[in-house]
Amino acid sequence: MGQGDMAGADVTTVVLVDDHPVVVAGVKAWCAAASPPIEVVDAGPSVAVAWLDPGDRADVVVLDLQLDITGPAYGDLKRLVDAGRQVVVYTMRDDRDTALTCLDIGAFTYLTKAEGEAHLVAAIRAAANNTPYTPPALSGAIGTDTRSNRPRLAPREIDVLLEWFHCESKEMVAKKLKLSVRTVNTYLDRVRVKYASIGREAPTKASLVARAIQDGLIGVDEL
Amino acid sequence: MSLTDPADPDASAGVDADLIVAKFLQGLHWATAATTLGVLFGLQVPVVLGHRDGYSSVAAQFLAIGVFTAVTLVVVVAVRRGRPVGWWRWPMLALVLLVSVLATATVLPGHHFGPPHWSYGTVGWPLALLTLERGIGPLAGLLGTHYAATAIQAAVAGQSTATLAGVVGETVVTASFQVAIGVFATVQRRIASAAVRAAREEERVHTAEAVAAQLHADRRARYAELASTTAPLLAGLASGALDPAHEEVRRACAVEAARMRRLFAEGAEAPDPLLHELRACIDLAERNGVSVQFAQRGERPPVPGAVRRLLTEPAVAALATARSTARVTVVGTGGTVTVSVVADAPPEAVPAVETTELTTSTVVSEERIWVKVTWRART
Repeated sequence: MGQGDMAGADVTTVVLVDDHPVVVAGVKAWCAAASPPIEVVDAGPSVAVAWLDPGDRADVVVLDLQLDITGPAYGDLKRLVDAGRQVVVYTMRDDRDTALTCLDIGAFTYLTKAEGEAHLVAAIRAAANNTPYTPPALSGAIGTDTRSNRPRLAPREIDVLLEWFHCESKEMVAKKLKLSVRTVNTYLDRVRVKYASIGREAPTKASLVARAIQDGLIGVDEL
Repeated sequence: MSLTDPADPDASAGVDADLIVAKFLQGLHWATAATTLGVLFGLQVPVVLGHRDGYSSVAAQFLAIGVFTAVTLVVVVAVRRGRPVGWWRWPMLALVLLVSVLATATVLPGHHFGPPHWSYGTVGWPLALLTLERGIGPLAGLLGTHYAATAIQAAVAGQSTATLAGVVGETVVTASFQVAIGVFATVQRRIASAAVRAAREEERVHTAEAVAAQLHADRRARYAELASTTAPLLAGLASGALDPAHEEVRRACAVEAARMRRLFAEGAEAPDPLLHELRACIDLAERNGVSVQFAQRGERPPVPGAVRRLLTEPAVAALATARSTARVTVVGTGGTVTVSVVADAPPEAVPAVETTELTTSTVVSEERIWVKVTWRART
């Protein structure tokens, strides 16, 4: 179990909401080069592409948070999540509070554009499979979360989160903390599931928790 | 080391200016108050007692003497406490003019400008005392008002035996003393404000000198750090002992350049000096064609300058010697500050920093080196 599971026989489909043509072109290229390929069914500058045919049937929505000057598109994210869509937030904004807010609303994961090349394809696959995925930017945000309603994390879990944020290499984290890469992944996934079980209720969060319990990643009593 | 902003110099200079002017005028206040009281009790009380039949109300005359005395004492107390009369001078001036009008009104017709009309020349003393801090302008205006009011009152009462020459003579004799005081006060105020200006200028020069000396000392302290690392390198290059073509020498030059860049950044008054200094080194690395990722998380306590230099040392070296990519991250959590760098730099080029306050961890994997320095703020 864990990050980077391969998709099933079906081709994963994605709809991409981003107003920058270079980003759209880049994401399409990464998806086409993925193995097996991921199909970008539609892309556009407005969130409407995610609600209209063929975007409404895509497995995963990749959403840029800043589509206009009114600030982060939390409203759009909320409506997509409430409709049961798996949303990968993909944004220029690299700060803790934005990441934690997206997680609280029910985004599947949060990626900064600097991390796109290394993590976007894997995050899309994880979203399609409903298995946790925590890239470094999100990991750093969770590791430094000081809000009163945060879930209780073990010191070791915080170590793993922050080391992953610092070095961006699971192998190096494993070496540093004298763990196996598999164990590092387990720590990250368990933390992600703990976050899915707090705050605002959302169908995507519930299914992430349900899947984690089914897979034996975490016990009901631990949440 | 950095200088904190001194308190607003203009605000403190304003208070100083008031103090200096008050000091200058203090003697004049004492002299005028003493003259006023001397005139009232030495000359005018006997006059009133001797001409009781010259008034329709003797009580009104004593009321006027009482008010003039009270006003004088208020000014004496205010000067004694070192606090100017301020806004209160205006109601007191009105009161003085009012009782002066009352005193004149209760002088029997025919005695105006004569010996019983003591208040005519005397009212100028409390007026001069109250307007001392305001200079000659207000005093001249008030005296003019007083003379005009008295002239009208005397004309309305009629039966005056006074001659124009007599009135002018008496007016000139009394007013000349009072106006002289006003002129003297104005001159002293001018001297005082010149003194204030000189004091302010002196203060400014002192402050500028202190700031310059501090900056110079800071700069010397920082460049002293370079003497142990940069100077031998430059000396070696100059003497030919070090070969610029040699990989290691080139790497040492890159690291020294980055250190100097960090020193230049230290001088600036940035709101977040740690990030400011790191950014300066990231800039340099990016200009050398290294792709740098930077991210920070959490809240950091402020880091003292010397600790900052140690915290960023591995990052500076790694950024200067990275071949193509580097990731720099800063995390603040639970009173600790961590600066971490992952780069494809040669491990021997990145120093490990180890002191009682800092802990360093190094992980080397294949092409990359990861150095993390953590500082714990003393609580």
